Amino acid sequence: MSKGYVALILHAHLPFIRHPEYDDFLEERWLFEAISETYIPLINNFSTLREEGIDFKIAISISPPLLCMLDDPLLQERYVNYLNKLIELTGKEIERTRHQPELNKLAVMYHDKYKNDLYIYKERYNCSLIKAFKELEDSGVLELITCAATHGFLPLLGIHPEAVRAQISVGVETFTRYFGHKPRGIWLPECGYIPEVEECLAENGVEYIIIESHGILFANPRPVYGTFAPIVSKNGTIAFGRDIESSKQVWSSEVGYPGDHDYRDFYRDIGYDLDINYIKPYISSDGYRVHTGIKYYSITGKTQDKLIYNPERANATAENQAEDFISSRIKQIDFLESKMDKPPVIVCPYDAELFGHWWYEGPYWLYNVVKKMTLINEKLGLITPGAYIDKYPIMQAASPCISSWGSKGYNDVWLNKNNDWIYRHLHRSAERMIELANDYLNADGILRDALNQASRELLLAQSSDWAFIMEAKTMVDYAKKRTQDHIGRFTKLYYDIKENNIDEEWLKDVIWKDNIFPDIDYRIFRSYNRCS
Amino acid sequence: MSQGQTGSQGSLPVSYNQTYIRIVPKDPYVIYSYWEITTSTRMDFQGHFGHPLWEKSSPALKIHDLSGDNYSYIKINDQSDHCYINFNRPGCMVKAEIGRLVSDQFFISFAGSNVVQMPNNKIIPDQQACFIDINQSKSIRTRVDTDQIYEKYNFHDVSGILGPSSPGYPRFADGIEHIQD
Repeated sequence: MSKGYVALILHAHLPFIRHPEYDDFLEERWLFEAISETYIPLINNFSTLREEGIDFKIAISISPPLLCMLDDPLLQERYVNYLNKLIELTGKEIERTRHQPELNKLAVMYHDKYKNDLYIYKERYNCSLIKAFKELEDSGVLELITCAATHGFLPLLGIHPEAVRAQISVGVETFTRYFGHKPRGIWLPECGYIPEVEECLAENGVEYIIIESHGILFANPRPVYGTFAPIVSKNGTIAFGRDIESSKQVWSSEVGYPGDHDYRDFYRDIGYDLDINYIKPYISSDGYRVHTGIKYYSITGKTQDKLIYNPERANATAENQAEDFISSRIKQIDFLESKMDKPPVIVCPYDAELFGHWWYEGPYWLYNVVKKMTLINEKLGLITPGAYIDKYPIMQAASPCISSWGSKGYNDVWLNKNNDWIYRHLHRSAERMIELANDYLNADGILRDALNQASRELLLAQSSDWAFIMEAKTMVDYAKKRTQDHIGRFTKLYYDIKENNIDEEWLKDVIWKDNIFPDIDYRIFRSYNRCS
Repeated sequence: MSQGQTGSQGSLPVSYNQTYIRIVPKDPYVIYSYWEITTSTRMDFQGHFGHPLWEKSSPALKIHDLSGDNYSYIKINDQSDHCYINFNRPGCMVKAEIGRLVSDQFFISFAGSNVVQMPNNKIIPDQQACFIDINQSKSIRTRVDTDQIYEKYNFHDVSGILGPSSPGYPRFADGIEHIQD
C-alpha cells in the first residue's frame, strides 16, 4: 500500500464556439488548436502508458460545451480542413528552411505531427475524440467527470437556485448522454463553490467536487488534515481541496515549470514572424495574423533574441521536472504520514489545455510523472477522487467555504468594472426563464422548440468564459458580442412566447446556429423541479 | 470572419421597466449591487409624498447585516444604477433595499434585494472534529492534533493560501507576447 497518494485531475473546457453562418471563423481555431496541441497528445500518451503496462488512473472533466463541439460534424469537418492546411504549410516550411538545418528539423517534426494527428483523428477514432476518451475510461485509466452545462460561474448565478440547478443537471445529463453513465464527480467551473450547489449535486447523484485550497482550509469546523484529506458536508457532498505547493510548482508564472528557458516559446509563431504574402493562406481569412502552431524558438529568457527550439533538450528538462515534482510529493508524504490516521491525498488539479497548448512539453511531463510515479508505488501512488473515497470512506464532516480558484480566491475575476454589466441581464433573463418554465407546463410543437431554445440561449449567455475574456482584455469584442447576442435572442424569444407570436423562420435560424444540447428540456428551469 | 462580426439578432434590453435591486458578493469584504428605479416608482412617490420630499431626500441603499441584526445607509446618486459597497463583514448574511433617505431615521423603501452570504476569509478556530463513515452514515467523535500540519504548510498565512490564480493561462515570465499587426 502506498504511504500517500497524488490525485491528478485535468479539466478540459472551451466555450461553445461554432459559427455555421460563416465559412471560416477565427475563434473556432481555439478548438482546433486544443485538439492538436492538448487532447490528441494526452490521448496518445495515455494510450502509450496503457500499452506499456503502466497501472495508473487519473481524473479528467470534459465540459459539456467541449463534448458538444467534439461531437459536431461541422466542426469535425473544419478541424480536418485545419489539419490539411497545416500539413500543406509545414510542407512549404520544409522547403523554405532547407538551408537552415535546425529550423528544417523542426519543420519536419511539425509536418510529421500534423500528418499523425490526421491519421489519429480520422482513421483511428473516426473523428470522435469522445470515443477515444470513452475507450480510455473503459480500459480503466481515466475517471471521467462532468462540469456545469456551459461553465457558468455558479457563485454569481446562485441568487436563483433554479439557474444553478439547470447548470448542474444539464451538465450531468450531457455527460450521461455521451458516456452512458452518471459521473461520480463534477468540476465546478473555476472551482467556484457555494453551498447552494450541494442539494442539486445530491439530487443528481454526484458524489464529489474539487475546490480551491481555502475552500477547505476555511471550512467549518476547521478540517484537521488541511487539504490532505477530503471533507464531507451535511448534504453528503465530498470536497477535495487543491494542494498549494504542487499548484505553485506548475502554475506559478514566476517559478512554474512551464517557464523554463528550454521550453518552446508560445508567443513566437510563424503566423507573426513570416512575410504576410507567404503566410496569408494560413492565418485568418480576413488577414489577421494568428498563431499557426508552428513555433521555432525556445523561451530563452527575457529577450526577443530567442534561441532555436531544441526538442531533445526540452524533453530532458521535462523529465527532470517530473522527477522534481515526484520528489516534492514524496517529501510532503514523508511528513504527513505520521500526522494522519490514513494516507494523505495531494490533489493536483490543472486546466487540461495548459498541457500542450500553453506548455508544449506538458503532455510529456505528465507522461513522465505518471510513469515514474508508478515505479515507486510503495512511497506514493496515483489515485482518483472516486477511488480515494472508496478506500477511505471515513472522513471529517465540515462545510466548505465559498471560494473559487480565481485571482484573490473569490469572485473578482468574473465581477469587476470590465464585466459587471452582464449580471443585470443574466439574472433578469434567469428570472424570465423560470417564469416561462413555470407558466408553460407541457408545451409542444413550435412553442416547445422556442422554450427549449430560450434555455439554450440563457445557458450560453451564462458561460463564465465571456466575463473572463472581458477581464483578461483579449478578444473582448467577441465576448461582449456573444453575451449581447445570447441575451438578445433570449429576450426576443421571451416576448415572442409571451405574446404568442413566435417567428418560425427566425427561430429555425437560431436553432441552427446555437445547436448545443439537442435534447434539452426547458422544464429544467422550473421552480419546483427536482433534478432527477 | 472574426470577433464582433456575428450577426446580432436581438439586443440587450436598455431597461427592464421594473424597480428592483440585486446584490452579489465580490469577495468577503465587498458587495456588488445593481438596481433600476422606474419613472412610475418616482411618480408614485411624488404623488404620495409630494415633489418637494423627492428633492429633499437622497437616493440611498439600506444594507442589512442579517447576522448582526443591524443596518447602515449608503447614499447613491440618481444617475447611478450600480455600485460596489465596502462591507467588510466576512461570513455574514446580507440584504439590501433601495429607496430615499429622508432623514437619518426615515428611509422610504422601493424594493428589497435577495439575501446573500458573504464568503469567509479565515480559518475557523479549532473545534471538535466529527468523522463520518459515509457508507454507514456512522459518526465517530474524535479530536486530532493538526497544528503541525497547519504550521508546516503555513496555512494560517492567508496571503500564501490565496494563489496562484488559475483560470486562463499563465503568461510565463520570459515569453514575449506579440502585438497583432
